[in-house]
Amino acid sequence: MAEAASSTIEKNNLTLKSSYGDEFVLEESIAIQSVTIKNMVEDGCSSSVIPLSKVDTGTLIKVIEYMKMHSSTSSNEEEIQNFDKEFVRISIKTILNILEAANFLDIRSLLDLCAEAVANRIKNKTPEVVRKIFNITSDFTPEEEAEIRNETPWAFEGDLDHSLD
Amino acid sequence: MTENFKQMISKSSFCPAENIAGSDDLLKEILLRLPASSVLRFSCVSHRWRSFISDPYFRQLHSRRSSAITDGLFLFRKSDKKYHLDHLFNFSDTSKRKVVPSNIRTFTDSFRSVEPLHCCNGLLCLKLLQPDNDDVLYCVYNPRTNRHTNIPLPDINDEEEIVSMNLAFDPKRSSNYKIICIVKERLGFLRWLTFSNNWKESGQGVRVRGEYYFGKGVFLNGTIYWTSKHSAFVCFDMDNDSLKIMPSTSVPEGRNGRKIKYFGESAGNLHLIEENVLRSTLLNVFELENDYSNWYVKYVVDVDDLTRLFPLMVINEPESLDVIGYQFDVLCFVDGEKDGKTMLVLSLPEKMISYDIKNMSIKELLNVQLEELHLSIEGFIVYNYKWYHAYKHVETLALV
Repeated sequence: MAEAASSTIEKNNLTLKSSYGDEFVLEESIAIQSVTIKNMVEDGCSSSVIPLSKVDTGTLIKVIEYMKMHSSTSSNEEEIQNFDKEFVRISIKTILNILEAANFLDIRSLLDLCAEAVANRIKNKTPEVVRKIFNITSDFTPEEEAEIRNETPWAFEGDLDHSLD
Repeated sequence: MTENFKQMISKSSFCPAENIAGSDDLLKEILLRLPASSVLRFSCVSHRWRSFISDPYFRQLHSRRSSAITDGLFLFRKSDKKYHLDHLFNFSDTSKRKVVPSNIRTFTDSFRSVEPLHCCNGLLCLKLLQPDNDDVLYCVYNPRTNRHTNIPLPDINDEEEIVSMNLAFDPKRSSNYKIICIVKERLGFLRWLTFSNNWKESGQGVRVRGEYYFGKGVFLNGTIYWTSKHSAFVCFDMDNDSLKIMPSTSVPEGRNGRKIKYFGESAGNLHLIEENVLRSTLLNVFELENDYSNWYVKYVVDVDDLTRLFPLMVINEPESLDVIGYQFDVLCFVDGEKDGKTMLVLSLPEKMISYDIKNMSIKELLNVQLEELHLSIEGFIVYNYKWYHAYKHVETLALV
Protein backbone atom coordinates (compact mmCIF):
# COMPACT_ATOMS: atom_id res chain seq x y z
CA MET A 1 0.00 0.00 0.00
CA ALA A 2 2.64 2.46 1.15
CA GLU A 3 4.74 1.64 -1.88
CA ALA A 4 1.86 2.21 -4.27
CA ALA A 5 1.13 5.60 -2.69
CA SER A 6 4.69 6.82 -3.00
CA SER A 7 4.91 5.71 -6.62
CA THR A 8 1.75 7.70 -7.36
CA ILE A 9 3.38 10.82 -5.95
CA GLU A 10 6.51 10.21 -7.97
CA LYS A 11 4.46 9.63 -11.05
CA ASN A 12 2.73 12.97 -10.56
CA ASN A 13 5.95 14.96 -10.57
CA LEU A 14 8.47 15.48 -13.31
CA THR A 15 11.88 17.06 -13.17
CA LEU A 16 12.84 19.37 -16.04
CA LYS A 17 16.49 20.19 -16.52
CA SER A 18 17.58 23.34 -18.34
CA SER A 19 20.57 23.62 -20.66
CA TYR A 20 22.51 25.16 -17.74
CA GLY A 21 21.82 22.08 -15.61
CA ASP A 22 19.27 23.68 -13.29
CA GLU A 23 16.45 21.33 -12.28
CA PHE A 24 12.80 22.19 -11.75
CA VAL A 25 10.19 19.87 -10.28
CA LEU A 26 6.77 20.25 -11.83
CA GLU A 27 3.48 18.38 -11.58
CA GLU A 28 3.01 16.07 -14.53
CA SER A 29 -0.50 17.38 -15.17
CA ILE A 30 0.99 20.86 -15.69
CA ALA A 31 4.03 19.76 -17.69
CA ILE A 32 2.03 17.75 -20.24
CA GLN A 33 0.70 20.96 -21.77
CA SER A 34 3.91 20.45 -23.68
CA VAL A 35 3.14 17.82 -26.32
CA THR A 36 6.84 16.94 -26.43
CA ILE A 37 6.86 16.15 -22.70
CA LYS A 38 3.49 14.42 -22.94
CA ASN A 39 4.83 12.09 -25.63
CA MET A 40 7.89 11.34 -23.50
CA VAL A 41 5.68 10.52 -20.53
CA GLU A 42 3.47 8.28 -22.64
CA ASP A 43 6.47 6.52 -24.11
CA GLY A 44 7.69 5.88 -20.59
CA CYS A 45 10.98 7.72 -21.01
CA SER A 46 10.39 10.24 -18.26
CA SER A 47 11.24 8.07 -15.30
CA SER A 48 14.10 10.32 -14.29
CA VAL A 49 15.02 13.83 -15.26
CA ILE A 50 13.90 15.31 -18.60
CA PRO A 51 16.85 17.18 -20.08
CA LEU A 52 15.87 20.21 -22.15
CA SER A 53 19.18 20.94 -23.81
CA LYS A 54 17.68 23.68 -25.97
CA VAL A 55 16.07 25.68 -23.16
CA ASP A 56 18.14 27.90 -20.87
CA THR A 57 17.24 28.45 -17.22
CA GLY A 58 15.70 31.91 -17.58
CA THR A 59 13.51 30.76 -20.45
CA LEU A 60 12.47 27.58 -18.65
CA ILE A 61 11.40 29.61 -15.60
CA LYS A 62 9.14 31.71 -17.86
CA VAL A 63 7.73 28.65 -19.62
CA ILE A 64 6.93 27.00 -16.29
CA GLU A 65 5.31 30.22 -15.04
CA TYR A 66 3.12 30.17 -18.15
CA MET A 67 2.18 26.51 -17.86
CA LYS A 68 1.31 26.91 -14.17
CA MET A 69 -1.00 29.82 -14.86
CA HIS A 70 -2.67 28.10 -17.79
CA SER A 71 -3.39 24.91 -15.90
CA SER A 72 -4.65 26.69 -12.80
CA THR A 73 -8.31 25.99 -12.25
CA SER A 74 -8.75 28.94 -9.89
CA SER A 75 -8.10 31.66 -12.48
CA ASN A 76 -10.82 32.86 -14.81
CA GLU A 77 -10.56 33.84 -18.44
CA GLU A 78 -10.00 37.51 -17.71
CA GLU A 79 -7.15 36.77 -15.29
CA ILE A 80 -5.51 34.57 -17.88
CA GLN A 81 -5.88 37.26 -20.53
CA ASN A 82 -4.27 39.82 -18.24
CA PHE A 83 -1.53 37.37 -17.36
CA ASP A 84 -0.79 36.81 -21.06
CA LYS A 85 -0.65 40.55 -21.69
CA GLU A 86 1.84 41.05 -18.86
CA PHE A 87 3.77 37.91 -19.75
CA VAL A 88 4.99 39.35 -23.07
CA ARG A 89 5.96 42.75 -21.64
CA ILE A 90 9.60 41.74 -21.85
CA SER A 91 12.42 42.28 -24.35
CA ILE A 92 11.90 40.95 -27.87
CA LYS A 93 14.99 38.78 -27.48
CA THR A 94 13.44 37.10 -24.45
CA ILE A 95 10.14 36.56 -26.29
CA LEU A 96 12.09 34.99 -29.16
CA ASN A 97 13.80 32.65 -26.64
CA ILE A 98 10.40 31.61 -25.33
CA LEU A 99 8.99 31.27 -28.84
CA GLU A 100 11.73 28.86 -29.73
CA ALA A 101 11.23 26.90 -26.53
CA ALA A 102 7.48 26.77 -27.15
CA ASN A 103 8.19 25.37 -30.59
CA PHE A 104 10.58 22.76 -29.24
CA LEU A 105 8.29 21.82 -26.35
CA ASP A 106 5.25 21.98 -28.66
CA ILE A 107 3.01 24.26 -26.58
CA ARG A 108 0.71 25.71 -29.23
CA SER A 109 -0.96 28.44 -27.17
CA LEU A 110 2.39 29.78 -25.94
CA LEU A 111 3.75 29.71 -29.49
CA ASP A 112 0.73 31.69 -30.70
CA LEU A 113 1.08 34.20 -27.88
CA CYS A 114 4.79 34.78 -28.55
CA ALA A 115 4.48 34.92 -32.35
CA GLU A 116 1.65 37.45 -32.00
CA ALA A 117 3.74 39.51 -29.55
CA VAL A 118 6.80 39.50 -31.82
CA ALA A 119 4.67 40.50 -34.83
CA ASN A 120 3.11 43.33 -32.85
CA ARG A 121 6.47 44.61 -31.74
CA ILE A 122 8.18 44.53 -35.14
CA LYS A 123 5.32 45.51 -37.45
CA ASN A 124 6.26 49.20 -37.62
CA LYS A 125 9.99 48.68 -37.56
CA THR A 126 12.49 49.29 -40.33
CA PRO A 127 14.17 46.37 -42.13
CA GLU A 128 17.51 47.50 -40.64
CA VAL A 129 16.19 47.12 -37.09
CA VAL A 130 14.57 43.76 -37.92
CA ARG A 131 17.94 42.51 -39.19
CA LYS A 132 19.56 43.53 -35.90
CA ILE A 133 16.86 41.84 -33.84
CA PHE A 134 17.18 38.59 -35.78
CA ASN A 135 20.99 38.81 -36.17
CA ILE A 136 20.73 38.82 -39.95
CA THR A 137 23.38 40.32 -42.19
CA SER A 138 21.89 41.63 -45.40
CA ASP A 139 22.95 39.56 -48.38
CA PHE A 140 21.69 42.11 -50.90
CA THR A 141 23.95 44.54 -52.71
CA PRO A 142 22.90 48.19 -52.11
CA GLU A 143 21.61 48.27 -55.72
CA GLU A 144 19.51 45.13 -55.21
CA GLU A 145 18.06 46.49 -52.00
CA ALA A 146 17.19 49.82 -53.60
CA GLU A 147 15.43 47.93 -56.38
CA ILE A 148 13.32 45.91 -53.95
CA ARG A 149 12.40 49.03 -52.00
CA ASN A 150 11.33 50.61 -55.27
CA GLU A 151 8.85 47.81 -55.94
CA THR A 152 6.72 48.88 -52.98
CA PRO A 153 7.91 52.35 -51.89
CA TRP A 154 4.66 52.95 -49.97
CA ALA A 155 5.52 50.14 -47.55
CA PHE A 156 8.33 52.40 -46.30
CA GLU A 157 6.14 55.48 -45.83
CA GLY A 158 4.77 56.80 -42.56
CA ASP A 159 6.34 56.93 -39.13
CA LEU A 160 8.53 53.87 -38.83
CA ASP A 161 9.94 52.67 -35.55
CA HIS A 162 13.73 52.68 -35.32
CA SER A 163 14.05 51.30 -31.77
CA LEU A 164 15.62 47.93 -31.16
CA ASP A 165 13.04 46.76 -28.65
CA MET B 1 33.39 20.12 -40.57
CA THR B 2 34.19 20.43 -36.87
CA GLU B 3 34.09 24.19 -37.18
CA ASN B 4 30.64 24.01 -38.76
CA PHE B 5 29.43 21.70 -36.06
CA LYS B 6 30.71 23.98 -33.32
CA GLN B 7 29.02 26.88 -35.01
CA MET B 8 25.78 24.94 -35.16
CA ILE B 9 25.93 24.12 -31.46
CA SER B 10 26.72 27.67 -30.46
CA LYS B 11 23.97 28.99 -32.68
CA SER B 12 21.38 26.62 -31.33
CA SER B 13 22.10 27.44 -27.72
CA PHE B 14 22.96 31.13 -27.76
CA CYS B 15 21.36 32.76 -30.74
CA PRO B 16 17.65 32.01 -30.67
CA ALA B 17 16.86 34.99 -32.86
CA GLU B 18 19.11 33.70 -35.58
CA ASN B 19 17.59 30.26 -35.14
CA ILE B 20 14.12 31.63 -35.60
CA ALA B 21 15.16 33.64 -38.60
CA GLY B 22 16.55 30.36 -39.91
CA SER B 23 13.57 28.17 -39.06
CA ASP B 24 10.93 28.27 -41.76
CA ASP B 25 8.17 27.28 -39.37
CA LEU B 26 8.81 29.99 -36.82
CA LEU B 27 9.49 32.63 -39.44
CA LYS B 28 6.16 31.71 -41.01
CA GLU B 29 4.39 31.99 -37.64
CA ILE B 30 5.67 35.54 -37.23
CA LEU B 31 5.22 36.74 -40.82
CA LEU B 32 1.67 35.42 -41.03
CA ARG B 33 0.71 37.66 -38.14
CA LEU B 34 2.13 40.83 -39.66
CA PRO B 35 0.05 43.30 -41.66
CA ALA B 36 0.59 43.11 -45.42
CA SER B 37 2.50 46.41 -45.50
CA SER B 38 5.05 45.14 -42.95
CA VAL B 39 5.47 41.90 -44.87
CA LEU B 40 6.21 43.85 -48.05
CA ARG B 41 8.64 46.10 -46.18
CA PHE B 42 10.53 43.09 -44.81
CA SER B 43 11.10 41.68 -48.30
CA CYS B 44 14.40 43.51 -48.27
CA VAL B 45 15.67 41.97 -45.02
CA SER B 46 17.46 39.12 -46.80
CA HIS B 47 17.21 36.79 -49.79
CA ARG B 48 15.68 34.13 -47.59
CA TRP B 49 12.96 36.41 -46.25
CA ARG B 50 12.29 37.69 -49.73
CA SER B 51 11.83 34.28 -51.28
CA PHE B 52 9.67 33.24 -48.32
CA ILE B 53 7.44 36.30 -48.73
CA SER B 54 7.17 35.98 -52.53
CA ASP B 55 6.01 32.38 -52.30
CA PRO B 56 2.40 32.18 -53.62
CA TYR B 57 1.51 29.59 -51.01
CA PHE B 58 2.64 31.93 -48.21
CA ARG B 59 0.60 34.75 -49.78
CA GLN B 60 -2.45 32.53 -49.86
CA LEU B 61 -2.02 31.60 -46.19
CA HIS B 62 -1.46 35.23 -45.29
CA SER B 63 -4.55 36.49 -47.10
CA ARG B 64 -6.63 33.77 -45.45
CA ARG B 65 -5.65 35.09 -42.05
CA SER B 66 -5.80 38.80 -42.81
CA SER B 67 -9.25 38.66 -44.42
CA ALA B 68 -10.83 38.42 -40.97
CA ILE B 69 -9.69 41.86 -39.86
CA THR B 70 -11.05 45.22 -40.99
CA ASP B 71 -8.05 47.55 -41.02
CA GLY B 72 -9.69 50.79 -42.01
CA LEU B 73 -11.92 52.59 -44.49
CA PHE B 74 -11.70 54.22 -47.88
CA LEU B 75 -13.86 57.30 -48.33
CA PHE B 76 -14.88 58.21 -51.86
CA ARG B 77 -16.82 61.26 -52.94
CA LYS B 78 -18.89 62.09 -55.97
CA SER B 79 -18.88 65.55 -57.43
CA ASP B 80 -19.61 66.67 -60.97
CA LYS B 81 -20.58 63.09 -61.86
CA LYS B 82 -17.01 62.06 -61.14
CA TYR B 83 -15.72 60.03 -58.25
CA HIS B 84 -12.48 60.32 -56.43
CA LEU B 85 -10.77 58.95 -53.36
CA ASP B 86 -10.86 61.42 -50.49
CA HIS B 87 -9.35 59.55 -47.59
CA LEU B 88 -8.00 56.27 -46.43
CA PHE B 89 -7.61 55.78 -42.73
CA ASN B 90 -6.55 52.85 -40.60
CA PHE B 91 -8.31 52.23 -37.29
CA SER B 92 -5.03 51.44 -35.54
CA ASP B 93 -3.16 54.41 -36.98
CA THR B 94 -2.80 56.92 -34.17
CA SER B 95 -0.84 59.54 -36.05
CA LYS B 96 -2.61 62.81 -36.73
CA ARG B 97 -1.30 63.00 -40.25
CA LYS B 98 -3.14 60.52 -42.40
CA VAL B 99 -1.91 60.45 -45.91
CA VAL B 100 -3.21 58.15 -48.59
CA PRO B 101 -0.23 55.92 -49.49
CA SER B 102 1.55 57.27 -52.57
CA ASN B 103 0.87 54.22 -54.71
CA ILE B 104 -2.89 54.45 -54.23
CA ARG B 105 -2.83 58.20 -54.81
CA THR B 106 -0.80 57.78 -58.00
CA PHE B 107 -3.14 55.06 -59.23
CA THR B 108 -6.37 56.95 -58.52
CA ASP B 109 -4.98 60.25 -59.82
CA SER B 110 -4.23 58.69 -63.18
CA PHE B 111 -7.94 58.46 -63.99
CA ARG B 112 -10.59 61.11 -64.49
CA SER B 113 -13.01 59.27 -62.25
CA VAL B 114 -12.55 56.35 -59.87
CA GLU B 115 -15.92 54.98 -58.92
CA PRO B 116 -15.98 52.33 -56.22
CA LEU B 117 -18.44 49.61 -57.16
CA HIS B 118 -17.73 47.16 -54.39
CA CYS B 119 -15.11 45.91 -52.00
CA CYS B 120 -14.58 42.46 -50.63
CA ASN B 121 -11.86 41.15 -48.29
CA GLY B 122 -9.27 43.68 -49.39
CA LEU B 123 -9.99 43.86 -53.12
CA LEU B 124 -11.80 46.78 -54.73
CA CYS B 125 -13.93 46.62 -57.85
CA LEU B 126 -13.63 49.98 -59.62
CA LYS B 127 -15.15 51.70 -62.62
CA LEU B 128 -12.53 53.99 -64.13
CA LEU B 129 -12.73 56.79 -66.66
CA GLN B 130 -9.62 57.34 -68.75
CA PRO B 131 -8.15 60.84 -68.40
CA ASP B 132 -8.23 61.81 -72.06
CA ASN B 133 -11.25 60.05 -73.52
CA ASP B 134 -14.61 58.65 -72.48
CA ASP B 135 -13.49 55.05 -72.33
CA VAL B 136 -14.82 53.13 -69.38
CA LEU B 137 -12.66 50.55 -67.69
CA TYR B 138 -13.64 48.05 -65.04
CA CYS B 139 -10.95 46.59 -62.84
CA VAL B 140 -10.19 44.67 -59.68
CA TYR B 141 -7.55 46.44 -57.63
CA ASN B 142 -5.50 45.37 -54.64
CA PRO B 143 -4.47 48.70 -53.09
CA ARG B 144 -1.95 47.06 -50.78
CA THR B 145 0.14 45.39 -53.46
CA ASN B 146 -0.82 48.06 -56.01
CA ARG B 147 -1.77 45.46 -58.62
CA HIS B 148 -4.87 45.60 -60.76
CA THR B 149 -6.50 43.49 -63.44
CA ASN B 150 -8.87 44.86 -66.01
CA ILE B 151 -12.20 43.13 -66.36
CA PRO B 152 -13.64 42.84 -69.88
CA LEU B 153 -16.88 44.72 -70.40
CA PRO B 154 -19.90 42.47 -70.09
CA ASP B 155 -21.94 42.04 -73.24
CA ILE B 156 -24.88 44.44 -72.94
CA ASN B 157 -26.92 46.27 -75.54
CA ASP B 158 -27.59 49.99 -75.85
CA GLU B 159 -30.88 49.86 -74.03
CA GLU B 160 -29.42 48.16 -71.00
CA GLU B 161 -27.47 49.61 -68.13
CA ILE B 162 -25.13 48.16 -65.55
CA VAL B 163 -26.73 48.62 -62.15
CA SER B 164 -23.84 47.32 -60.15
CA MET B 165 -20.91 44.94 -59.95
CA ASN B 166 -20.14 43.04 -56.76
CA LEU B 167 -17.00 41.11 -55.92
CA ALA B 168 -17.11 37.64 -54.45
CA PHE B 169 -13.72 36.94 -52.90
CA ASP B 170 -13.12 34.70 -49.93
CA PRO B 171 -9.46 33.72 -49.53
CA LYS B 172 -10.50 31.07 -46.99
CA ARG B 173 -12.25 29.16 -49.78
CA SER B 174 -10.27 30.06 -52.88
CA SER B 175 -7.58 32.44 -54.01
CA ASN B 176 -9.68 33.36 -57.07
CA TYR B 177 -12.41 35.96 -57.07
CA LYS B 178 -15.66 36.10 -58.99
CA ILE B 179 -17.73 39.11 -60.01
CA ILE B 180 -21.46 39.41 -60.31
CA CYS B 181 -22.89 42.08 -62.57
CA ILE B 182 -26.50 43.21 -62.37
CA VAL B 183 -27.90 44.58 -65.60
CA LYS B 184 -31.16 46.46 -65.96
CA GLU B 185 -32.93 45.47 -69.16
CA ARG B 186 -35.45 47.51 -71.08
CA LEU B 187 -38.75 47.57 -69.10
CA GLY B 188 -36.88 47.35 -65.83
CA PHE B 189 -36.25 43.62 -65.68
CA LEU B 190 -32.94 42.57 -64.26
CA ARG B 191 -30.48 39.99 -65.45
CA TRP B 192 -27.47 38.59 -63.70
CA LEU B 193 -24.03 37.90 -65.18
CA THR B 194 -21.14 36.29 -63.39
CA PHE B 195 -17.46 36.47 -64.20
CA SER B 196 -14.61 34.18 -63.28
CA ASN B 197 -12.56 33.86 -66.47
CA ASN B 198 -15.23 35.21 -68.75
CA TRP B 199 -18.77 36.52 -68.44
CA LYS B 200 -21.63 34.10 -68.31
CA GLU B 201 -25.38 34.56 -68.14
CA SER B 202 -26.60 33.50 -64.68
CA GLY B 203 -30.22 34.54 -64.48
CA GLN B 204 -32.55 36.46 -66.72
CA GLY B 205 -35.81 38.34 -66.69
CA VAL B 206 -36.01 38.63 -62.94
CA ARG B 207 -38.54 41.19 -61.94
CA VAL B 208 -37.49 42.78 -58.71
CA ARG B 209 -39.87 45.13 -57.03
CA GLY B 210 -38.59 48.11 -55.15
CA GLU B 211 -35.20 49.64 -54.77
CA TYR B 212 -32.28 47.50 -53.65
CA TYR B 213 -28.92 48.63 -52.36
CA PHE B 214 -27.15 46.59 -55.05
CA GLY B 215 -23.96 48.60 -54.70
CA LYS B 216 -23.66 47.57 -51.07
CA GLY B 217 -23.96 43.83 -51.34
CA VAL B 218 -22.19 41.77 -48.72
CA PHE B 219 -20.39 38.56 -49.63
CA LEU B 220 -20.25 35.84 -47.01
CA ASN B 221 -19.88 32.05 -47.27
CA GLY B 222 -20.36 31.88 -51.02
CA THR B 223 -23.44 34.10 -51.16
CA ILE B 224 -23.97 37.80 -51.85
CA TYR B 225 -26.68 39.50 -49.82
CA TRP B 226 -28.59 42.69 -50.62
CA THR B 227 -30.95 44.78 -48.53
CA SER B 228 -33.79 47.03 -49.55
CA LYS B 229 -35.72 49.94 -48.13
CA HIS B 230 -39.17 48.49 -48.73
CA SER B 231 -38.87 44.96 -50.11
CA ALA B 232 -37.79 41.54 -48.93
CA PHE B 233 -34.00 41.11 -48.87
CA VAL B 234 -32.47 38.91 -51.56
CA CYS B 235 -29.29 36.93 -52.00
CA PHE B 236 -27.41 35.25 -54.81
CA ASP B 237 -25.74 31.91 -54.30
CA MET B 238 -22.49 32.17 -56.29
CA ASP B 239 -21.86 28.41 -56.25
CA ASN B 240 -25.25 27.45 -57.70
CA ASP B 241 -26.09 30.62 -59.63
CA SER B 242 -29.42 31.10 -57.96
CA LEU B 243 -31.25 34.13 -56.65
CA LYS B 244 -33.22 33.66 -53.45
CA ILE B 245 -35.30 35.59 -50.99
CA MET B 246 -33.69 35.78 -47.56
CA PRO B 247 -35.09 36.77 -44.14
CA SER B 248 -35.74 40.51 -43.80
CA THR B 249 -36.32 42.86 -40.94
CA SER B 250 -39.86 44.17 -40.60
CA VAL B 251 -40.77 47.47 -42.22
CA PRO B 252 -41.85 49.82 -39.41
CA GLU B 253 -45.49 50.84 -39.67
CA GLY B 254 -46.28 54.38 -40.65
CA ARG B 255 -42.81 54.97 -41.99
CA ASN B 256 -41.43 55.36 -45.43
CA GLY B 257 -39.55 52.07 -45.37
CA ARG B 258 -36.64 50.90 -43.27
CA LYS B 259 -34.10 53.48 -42.22
CA ILE B 260 -31.02 51.47 -42.98
CA LYS B 261 -27.85 53.00 -41.62
CA TYR B 262 -25.43 50.22 -42.45
CA PHE B 263 -25.18 46.70 -43.82
CA GLY B 264 -22.00 44.68 -43.50
CA GLU B 265 -20.16 41.65 -42.26
CA SER B 266 -17.95 41.15 -39.26
CA ALA B 267 -16.36 38.02 -37.76
CA GLY B 268 -18.40 35.81 -40.07
CA ASN B 269 -21.79 37.36 -39.29
CA LEU B 270 -24.08 39.67 -41.23
CA HIS B 271 -25.02 42.91 -39.51
CA LEU B 272 -27.70 45.39 -40.34
CA ILE B 273 -28.09 48.68 -38.51
CA GLU B 274 -31.40 50.50 -38.61
CA GLU B 275 -32.64 53.61 -36.91
CA ASN B 276 -34.92 52.74 -33.99
CA VAL B 277 -38.53 53.93 -34.38
CA LEU B 278 -38.45 55.73 -31.01
CA ARG B 279 -35.76 58.26 -31.86
CA SER B 280 -33.06 58.73 -34.44
CA THR B 281 -30.18 58.61 -31.93
CA LEU B 282 -31.08 55.05 -31.05
CA LEU B 283 -29.68 52.35 -33.32
CA ASN B 284 -30.77 48.74 -33.64
CA VAL B 285 -27.89 46.46 -34.53
CA PHE B 286 -29.32 43.28 -36.05
CA GLU B 287 -27.40 40.09 -36.61
CA LEU B 288 -28.58 37.27 -38.85
CA GLU B 289 -28.93 34.00 -36.90
CA ASN B 290 -26.32 31.37 -37.69
CA ASP B 291 -28.98 29.17 -39.29
CA TYR B 292 -30.06 32.14 -41.46
CA SER B 293 -33.58 31.86 -40.04
CA ASN B 294 -34.10 35.45 -38.93
CA TRP B 295 -32.59 38.71 -37.79
CA TYR B 296 -32.38 39.43 -34.08
CA VAL B 297 -31.45 42.63 -32.28
CA LYS B 298 -27.98 42.02 -30.91
CA TYR B 299 -27.33 45.50 -29.57
CA VAL B 300 -29.27 48.70 -29.12
CA VAL B 301 -26.83 51.60 -29.21
CA ASP B 302 -27.73 55.00 -27.84
CA VAL B 303 -25.62 57.78 -29.34
CA ASP B 304 -27.48 60.56 -27.57
CA ASP B 305 -24.51 61.30 -25.28
CA LEU B 306 -22.35 61.87 -28.32
CA THR B 307 -24.54 64.78 -29.39
CA ARG B 308 -23.46 66.65 -26.26
CA LEU B 309 -19.79 65.92 -26.92
CA PHE B 310 -20.10 66.82 -30.58
CA PRO B 311 -22.71 69.60 -30.87
CA LEU B 312 -22.22 69.77 -34.64
CA MET B 313 -24.25 66.58 -34.82
CA VAL B 314 -27.37 68.48 -33.85
CA ILE B 315 -29.43 70.25 -36.50
CA ASN B 316 -31.33 73.21 -35.08
CA GLU B 317 -34.24 75.07 -36.59
CA PRO B 318 -32.59 78.40 -37.50
CA GLU B 319 -35.02 80.68 -35.67
CA SER B 320 -36.44 78.77 -32.74
CA LEU B 321 -33.23 76.71 -32.31
CA ASP B 322 -35.38 73.64 -31.72
CA VAL B 323 -33.62 70.38 -32.41
CA ILE B 324 -35.01 69.09 -35.67
CA GLY B 325 -32.58 66.30 -36.45
CA TYR B 326 -29.11 64.83 -36.17
CA GLN B 327 -26.26 64.45 -38.61
CA PHE B 328 -24.32 61.27 -38.18
CA ASP B 329 -23.89 58.07 -40.09
CA VAL B 330 -22.52 54.61 -39.52
CA LEU B 331 -19.59 53.82 -41.78
CA CYS B 332 -18.56 50.51 -40.31
CA PHE B 333 -19.40 48.02 -37.60
CA VAL B 334 -16.78 45.68 -36.17
CA ASP B 335 -17.93 42.99 -33.77
CA GLY B 336 -15.26 41.06 -31.90
CA GLU B 337 -12.75 40.67 -34.74
CA LYS B 338 -9.77 41.56 -32.59
CA ASP B 339 -9.35 41.85 -28.80
CA GLY B 340 -13.10 41.21 -28.46
CA LYS B 341 -13.86 44.85 -29.26
CA THR B 342 -17.24 45.89 -30.61
CA MET B 343 -17.10 49.26 -32.28
CA LEU B 344 -19.04 51.51 -34.55
CA VAL B 345 -17.22 53.85 -36.87
CA LEU B 346 -19.34 56.97 -37.04
CA SER B 347 -19.14 59.84 -39.43
CA LEU B 348 -20.01 63.22 -37.92
CA PRO B 349 -19.65 66.64 -39.48
CA GLU B 350 -15.91 67.39 -39.39
CA LYS B 351 -14.77 64.06 -38.00
CA MET B 352 -14.79 60.30 -37.97
CA ILE B 353 -14.81 58.57 -34.63
CA SER B 354 -14.79 55.02 -33.42
CA TYR B 355 -17.19 54.26 -30.60
CA ASP B 356 -16.62 51.19 -28.49
CA ILE B 357 -20.19 50.26 -27.60
CA LYS B 358 -19.23 48.05 -24.67
CA ASN B 359 -17.10 50.42 -22.63
CA MET B 360 -18.48 53.52 -24.40
CA SER B 361 -15.04 54.90 -25.18
CA ILE B 362 -14.48 57.20 -28.12
CA LYS B 363 -11.46 57.54 -30.35
CA GLU B 364 -11.15 60.28 -32.94
CA LEU B 365 -9.92 58.77 -36.18
CA LEU B 366 -9.90 61.57 -38.71
CA ASN B 367 -10.65 65.26 -38.86
CA VAL B 368 -11.98 66.78 -42.04
CA GLN B 369 -12.73 70.35 -42.96
CA LEU B 370 -16.45 71.00 -42.95
CA GLU B 371 -16.29 72.96 -46.19
CA GLU B 372 -14.65 69.98 -47.84
CA LEU B 373 -17.78 68.03 -47.33
CA HIS B 374 -20.38 69.61 -49.50
CA LEU B 375 -21.22 66.35 -51.13
CA SER B 376 -24.02 66.58 -53.54
CA ILE B 377 -26.21 63.52 -53.57
CA GLU B 378 -29.28 63.65 -55.75
CA GLY B 379 -29.41 67.37 -55.31
CA PHE B 380 -29.07 67.39 -51.53
CA ILE B 381 -26.10 68.89 -49.80
CA VAL B 382 -24.64 66.55 -47.25
CA TYR B 383 -22.16 67.52 -44.58
CA ASN B 384 -20.90 64.17 -43.52
CA TYR B 385 -19.83 60.96 -45.20
CA LYS B 386 -22.53 58.36 -45.60
CA TRP B 387 -22.57 54.60 -45.49
CA TYR B 388 -22.31 54.43 -49.28
CA HIS B 389 -19.15 56.57 -49.39
CA ALA B 390 -17.21 54.16 -47.23
CA TYR B 391 -15.51 50.96 -48.37
CA LYS B 392 -13.71 48.58 -46.06
CA HIS B 393 -9.96 48.45 -46.23
CA VAL B 394 -8.49 45.04 -45.49
CA GLU B 395 -4.75 44.66 -45.95
CA THR B 396 -4.18 41.67 -48.17
CA LEU B 397 -1.37 40.19 -50.23
CA ALA B 398 -3.93 38.48 -52.46
CA LEU B 399 -3.00 38.32 -56.12
CA VAL B 400 -5.35 39.90 -58.63
